[in-house]
Amino acid sequence: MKSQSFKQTLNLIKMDMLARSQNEEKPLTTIRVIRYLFKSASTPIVLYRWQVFFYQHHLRFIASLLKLISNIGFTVIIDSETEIGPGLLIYHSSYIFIGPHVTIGSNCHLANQNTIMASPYYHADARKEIQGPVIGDGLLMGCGASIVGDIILGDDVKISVNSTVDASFPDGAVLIGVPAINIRQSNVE
Amino acid sequence: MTSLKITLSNIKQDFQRRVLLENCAGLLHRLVLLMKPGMVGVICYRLSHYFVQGKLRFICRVLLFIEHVYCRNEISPYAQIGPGLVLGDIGAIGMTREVVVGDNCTFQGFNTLTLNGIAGVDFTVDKIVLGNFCLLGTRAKIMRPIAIADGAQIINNSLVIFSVVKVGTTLSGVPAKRCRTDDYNAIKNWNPLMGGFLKQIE
Repeated sequence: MKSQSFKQTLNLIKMDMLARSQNEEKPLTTIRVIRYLFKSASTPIVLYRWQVFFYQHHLRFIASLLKLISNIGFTVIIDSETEIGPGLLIYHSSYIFIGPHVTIGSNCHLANQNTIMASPYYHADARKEIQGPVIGDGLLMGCGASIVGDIILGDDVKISVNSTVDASFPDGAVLIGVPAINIRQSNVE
Repeated sequence: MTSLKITLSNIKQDFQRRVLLENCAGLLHRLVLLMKPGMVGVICYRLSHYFVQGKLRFICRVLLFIEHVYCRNEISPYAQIGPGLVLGDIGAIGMTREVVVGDNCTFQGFNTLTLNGIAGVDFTVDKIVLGNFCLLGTRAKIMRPIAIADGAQIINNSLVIFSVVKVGTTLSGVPAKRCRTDDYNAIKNWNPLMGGFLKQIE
């Protein structure tokens, strides 16, 4: 994997800020960028972007410290091996955990208490190498929603509050329940 | 009564298991691991469990305060938990004094083990008992005095209100139902914190 450059990191942070300003339907001005830097929902994203930068440039101790600051200060834990596209937006930064081996596309919107990780549960078909979830663009998660396991989710997937997704679903799915079912598909049928 | 020697031995076993799960090879990584809320929470619980039995109860209070502020956990010092305990870094784990947990159990975070959840039920047993190598996913809850067999895996957001007899059962849903039953020896070699099979540390 090609390591993320300094310029790319700044660009990703800018895209994240832009996503927040678009969500608030306000233009992205310098004052607003400074305000976002001290907002509890944006700071963990900035910390995560720098964490990835330091991790990929073999300064793993600094990356671990940034992860610890994000954990203690904002209760957001995003692993350095996670790949998240531009436009990441966190509505409320509390108790969010994104484990290693996770790939998420652009414009991902997270709420509080979200969990995204490779399957921590053993099952008979488990592979030797860890495979995390691969998620497309435009993910929208409600608070308390979880995504676990070696699964593939399409673009524009919406997950309801307190749902657990442990199976693959196509584009535009609306998921609800423990384990989650696709209610959009069942409505069409 | 837990002696200081057993308490320190338990902390050592907890740390060794956590090192194994996170595959921490270097010294710096182990130092960072010691500062993580999950590990601090385990140490605070162990020491508070020791100090609550003697005359130095104010130390127990201080430890509980640290646990609450730093790790967001509320684990009763009277809860009995075996060695090899792993708590997730997210925290927010609540356990009452009626909880008895076996060895090498993992709580990923946001777990609640209490008898106060469902009112108006006449309980015949007054404890929540978990076997060895149990795993509770994030926001999994147990709210009745039930016994759960060894190697049980409770999937995220599930609510368990019935006892589990079969070893290696995976539970899911609200209320939780049995999904499947797996090999217990394979579950022992599984990494419940990160996923994948356990590796030997270099």
